[in-house]
Amino acid sequence: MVRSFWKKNNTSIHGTSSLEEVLQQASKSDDFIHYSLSEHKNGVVLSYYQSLVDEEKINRYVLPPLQISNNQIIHLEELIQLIPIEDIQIYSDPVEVELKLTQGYISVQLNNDHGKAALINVQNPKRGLRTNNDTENEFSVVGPKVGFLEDITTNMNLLRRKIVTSNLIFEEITVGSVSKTKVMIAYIEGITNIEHVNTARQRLQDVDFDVIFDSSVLDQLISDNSNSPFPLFLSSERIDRVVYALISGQVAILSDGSPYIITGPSTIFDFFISPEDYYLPWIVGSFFRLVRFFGVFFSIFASPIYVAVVTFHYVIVPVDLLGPLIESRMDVPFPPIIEVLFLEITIELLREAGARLPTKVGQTLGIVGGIVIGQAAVAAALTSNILLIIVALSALASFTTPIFKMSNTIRLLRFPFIVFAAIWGGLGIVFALTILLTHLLRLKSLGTPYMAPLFPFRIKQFADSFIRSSLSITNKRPGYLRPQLRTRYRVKQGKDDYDNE
Amino acid sequence: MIMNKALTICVLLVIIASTGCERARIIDDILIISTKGYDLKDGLLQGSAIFSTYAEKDKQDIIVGEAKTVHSLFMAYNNQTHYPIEYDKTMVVVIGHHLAKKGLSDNLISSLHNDQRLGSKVIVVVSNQEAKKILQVEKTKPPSFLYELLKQNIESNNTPHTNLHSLLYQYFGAGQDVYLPCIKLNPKGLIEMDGMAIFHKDRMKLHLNPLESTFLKLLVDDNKIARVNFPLLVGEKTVHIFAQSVSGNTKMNVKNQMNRPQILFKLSLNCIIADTPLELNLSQKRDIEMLQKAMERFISKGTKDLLTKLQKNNVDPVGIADFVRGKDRDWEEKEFMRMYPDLQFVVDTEVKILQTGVGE
Repeated sequence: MVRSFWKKNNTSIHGTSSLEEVLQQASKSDDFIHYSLSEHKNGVVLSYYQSLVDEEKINRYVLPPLQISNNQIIHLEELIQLIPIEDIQIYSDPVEVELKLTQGYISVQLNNDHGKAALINVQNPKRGLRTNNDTENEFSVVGPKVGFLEDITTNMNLLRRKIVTSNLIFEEITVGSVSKTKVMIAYIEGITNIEHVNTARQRLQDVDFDVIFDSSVLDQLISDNSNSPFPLFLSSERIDRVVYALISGQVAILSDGSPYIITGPSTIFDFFISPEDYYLPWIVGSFFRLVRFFGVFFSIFASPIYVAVVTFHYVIVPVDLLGPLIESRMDVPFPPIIEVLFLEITIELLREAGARLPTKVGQTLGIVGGIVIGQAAVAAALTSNILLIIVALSALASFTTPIFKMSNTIRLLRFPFIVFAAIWGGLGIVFALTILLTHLLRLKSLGTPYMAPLFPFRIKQFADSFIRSSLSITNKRPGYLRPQLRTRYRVKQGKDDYDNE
Repeated sequence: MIMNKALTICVLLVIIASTGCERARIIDDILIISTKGYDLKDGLLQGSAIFSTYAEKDKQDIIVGEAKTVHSLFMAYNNQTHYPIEYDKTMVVVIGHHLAKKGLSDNLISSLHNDQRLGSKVIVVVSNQEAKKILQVEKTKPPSFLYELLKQNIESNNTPHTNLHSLLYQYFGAGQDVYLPCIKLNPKGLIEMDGMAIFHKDRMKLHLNPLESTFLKLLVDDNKIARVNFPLLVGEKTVHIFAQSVSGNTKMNVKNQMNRPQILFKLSLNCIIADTPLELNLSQKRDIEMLQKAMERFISKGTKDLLTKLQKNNVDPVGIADFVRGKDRDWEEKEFMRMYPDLQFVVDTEVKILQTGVGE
């Protein structure tokens, strides 16, 4: 029953047969306007969705010529001459007309010529959208604070202003059977390997989905392995990040209605890079990047190691630490695994609640949750002091990852590790790590190894992975991206009295 | 694909099976033993052990049991405790006087040897009385007091380096005898270092006083940090000099002289003189040289006396036999030990004074 209902519904969306039916179907909506300027046989019929069009454009550019002409127009072609709007065309295909109408075009027909319609672009793309994005989700103290918007044209404009070359190509693909979302593949010709572009294009063309809510949906639809907790494409709202990806030879995919642009092929290292690394001196930048990697390992392994040590391997604890550790656990009635899961889930709840609440309430919640619940849990002997420190630190460490999607993945990863540690101790951690590494080694992003340059091992490309080396070393694009042009810029050989990087 | 799945399941099964023996030892549901003691009492092995209670800070408790074998002692302990006894974290094993004299019966040695739960850093010591008494004193001290005491003395005082690893090496290795540090309860009832115990096979044969153990340390240990106090005749008056050796090396050599093998020891030591007596003017080269010569004589004589004493008792903790084995292809332990009492020792010491008058 349900299946047949869906089928019927789908055909009604796709298969309208004539122009009249299209208009009839549209008239069911109350925001669809359909009227005649006059009853004369040369009279003009206008139809449009009120909610999509810019009324000022209609009043200023469309209506005056039509009213002045006073039923003198015999052919639609003449009408085109009269209206001072560039995007105007005549269609007879009802499907095309329906599409244009739903995109905010106004259809102009003549009373005597119902088979054809002139469609004029009077859409109001800015309505309901914000005008600027301060990149608060990927904040960087140094560097530009301009982010992408929900409007794809603005996003393309922002990219074009940074990459001033005609080699920057945008290819349009429409995705989504209902949303008809405009999706753009952006790449730099002569730098990006054309295979990546072909792969991305092929995958996007193969997508059959109804509404593309956000580029993240596209990310999953074209992903190499959708059964992985790891994001295989970098998605960013920062202009500098996307420009850097393009200039390195990656492909960017813009989707209308999404302020996030996805870039690929990505490697796991890309997710731990912050644009700030490049804005600070390379020594400082490298240090902070290393801190970030440490944060990742700490956040994944701290609580599992606590569980393993406290449950199985008390021997590896130094004698001086043994006392505090045991004393803090003395009154806790639960086994370590329950204790850890309790606290980890509390932190997850705090984070989730903080993310759902308005900013101001969220801050209050952080204080209430962090201090009150934490202290009370220790006072009530539900958890130990040391564990509270470990869990709080590892939560903190997980927030250092610049890309939100990756930081979520890292938060998730510790749970299987904790369970394995509780069952098999240190061996369990090693076992879980083996599974994780096996999974990571098999991952690909747009067909490029996800772990490059770690696997396959390319020693020369470590210059910009764990650390960010000096600009005089990183003048070549990463080889695993197989760019058509390896050299990014030339490094001056002779050193002047200033040491140019 | 099916093969892969089958393989994965097999690997999983192996892992599950291999970890089946792992049992949870939650850190606050066990009693962690830090020091173990062994005594001989009425033909039975008397074991004592110290564990921290952690209910109060730094509070420790002692448990005593008697049994026929080392491992059945744990049954005796567990009969008395509310949590299982775990001894992986044992740092010191104290052997009572009687037991050491009677011999570390194969039972004890083999349990030290075979038990993979004992770390090789465990220090085995001999006490001049019942080990239980020592442990009863240690109980009142902060946790791991005895271990820290021994470690401190080995690292920066006169005790030669020993641990379970070196004990087993000396016991099972050919051409050397076991030496272990000794502790005693001093008249004030405190634990104190008390020279070394020298074993022949598994029996304690000889006790070295603190000065003799200092010379033993200079001979056998790579860590040459040692402190000596020696008398020096200046004019009519005897003054006492306190010297500390900070680094150096010992070279052994073997020579055949008229069918009588001669063992040569060459000690090169860098020393610091503290407590300079007023009678000496150490800014003068003459006095420095005198002091240096006196020190060299003192150390050479002391070392030679020690070697002779060991020779008389027919024990070889220095490992002379082992050294000769490295020089002689046809070496045989019995043959060498027959020759051992006739060995002649020559000790040559070279002292270099680095600093004087600087206190520690």
